[in-house]
Amino acid sequence: MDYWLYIGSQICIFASLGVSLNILIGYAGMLSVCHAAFFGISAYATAILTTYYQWAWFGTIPVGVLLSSFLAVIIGRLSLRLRSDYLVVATFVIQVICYRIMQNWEEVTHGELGIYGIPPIHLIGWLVDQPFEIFIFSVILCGIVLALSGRIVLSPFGRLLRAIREDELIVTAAGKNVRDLKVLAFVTSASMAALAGSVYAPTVAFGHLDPSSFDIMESVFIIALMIIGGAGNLWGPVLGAVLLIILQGGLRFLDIPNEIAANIRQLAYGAVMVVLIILRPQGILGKYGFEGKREE
Amino acid sequence: MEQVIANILVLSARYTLTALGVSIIYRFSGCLDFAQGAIYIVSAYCSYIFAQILGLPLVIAILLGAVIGATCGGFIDFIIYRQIRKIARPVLSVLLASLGLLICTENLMALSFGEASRSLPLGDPRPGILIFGARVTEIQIAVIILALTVPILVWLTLNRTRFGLMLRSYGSNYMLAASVGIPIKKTFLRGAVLGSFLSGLAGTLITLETSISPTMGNEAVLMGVLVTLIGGAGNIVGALGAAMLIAAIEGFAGTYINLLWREVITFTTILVIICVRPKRVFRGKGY
Repeated sequence: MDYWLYIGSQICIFASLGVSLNILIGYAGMLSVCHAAFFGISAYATAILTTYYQWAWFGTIPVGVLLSSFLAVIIGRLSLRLRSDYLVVATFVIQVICYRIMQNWEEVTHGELGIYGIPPIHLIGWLVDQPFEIFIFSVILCGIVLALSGRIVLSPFGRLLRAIREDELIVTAAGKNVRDLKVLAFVTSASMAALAGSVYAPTVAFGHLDPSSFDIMESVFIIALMIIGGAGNLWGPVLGAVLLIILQGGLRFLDIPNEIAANIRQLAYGAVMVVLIILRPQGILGKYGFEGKREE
Repeated sequence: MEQVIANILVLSARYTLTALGVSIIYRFSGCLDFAQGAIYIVSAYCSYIFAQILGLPLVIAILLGAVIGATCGGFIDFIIYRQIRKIARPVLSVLLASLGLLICTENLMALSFGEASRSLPLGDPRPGILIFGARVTEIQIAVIILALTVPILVWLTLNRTRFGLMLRSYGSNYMLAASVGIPIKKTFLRGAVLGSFLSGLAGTLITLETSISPTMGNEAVLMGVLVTLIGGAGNIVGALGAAMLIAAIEGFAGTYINLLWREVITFTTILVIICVRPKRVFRGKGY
């Protein structure tokens, strides 16, 4: 039972990540593969501050969000100069840079070994360390992220993002500040991912963080669950998270040895991603299938 | 100092070879094909099997590995990319699909051969030759020579053959090329095979000296993509120049600044270059 609660918590965290990435890819149409970096920066910030400096968990959230947002502003500014595939490469490079920093900045992140003994969340007298409590907390997180995303999507800002996705030139011609809109999209997306990161570190990570949870593969995993569940739809990433993480959890019951379990999982989601891009690029629930005018 | 320069030359040779496949494909299709990294790995492992397990002579193993890579590339184009091209805007879809393929292939290789690195033992480790005060091995010299000759061959193919003309036409204006009657599927397929052959060749050659592991396709294709973007799509001279630039940054950063942060410094510099990219330095397919 504890195992399924753990799976449920993971689903909530990754669903939150997928929903936040959806703002960027599904609504604003900007493909970014550095989401794991936003997630990781905040997770590390929370981990370091709570474990080594005895900060209260709640106080670490703004720190994580600010750091990720800072990076997001940089990337957002870059996205103005870079066409779609250039942006993907730029975010790829940024992801790799962040990963290397996590690996090599021994004084702060303890490198490959990572950070051990992250204390559980202590919130106004509630110590979140039982599986059930962790699950509830993750659900609350997911709910907050979904609510925020819902508000964004239904707002004028969300409409403008979708307009930018469809035809950026017209939005500029209409007099809207595309620059600020894009930067804001990145910041919003990164902040939500950062929030997920701050929750992840003391809970689902089992009190241990290391760089391997935040590499390019994780970024692609988040994209995969968004594609599979559906881009451009609020609940798409949630469905994607449910499907992929249950797949991962279910593999356990097939008695697959641990060494190859990770490989089979990655193989599976890579394959499903490719198949879905061919057959149904907008995903199961999605509305945005990367369709549009072919660039002449 | 001479050693640093020699290392930079070898490194730029590797990056040039790795980038050729990606560059050609980007030139005619407009899509960044990360699956070239998958082809890189597959060819490397195939050569490993041929040379190590089947005991074939090295040159045959390399060529066969590249040919298998080319075949895989053809299949990928035929089965996967062709379907995606039916969508109106394939650039991002192909990119994502190629990332997915890269992941699949990496893990397939890891499942088949294990996560650990393997190396092709090429006899006793040789000390190499001393040239102008720097030490290079025979293989490194071979790689450098190939990095100078293969691009010339590719340039000739691209600019002096009918096939190259077809590729360039699609690169320049897809709709017009299709309307004029240049066969779409055949051209794209042959282009994919050519690019994949080059990537496969790069994969087998470079792993001769270093070891093979399932994840090396990631870094390889990333470097290939970066060289292509900085050097210009399908721009052979540009690719050479960009490869040398990146190798020089990496070499000097590693030697004179800090070995540990070498990659971060290199990537950050490349990022700046990509964003600030002066258009007149390397011409290419466009921004």
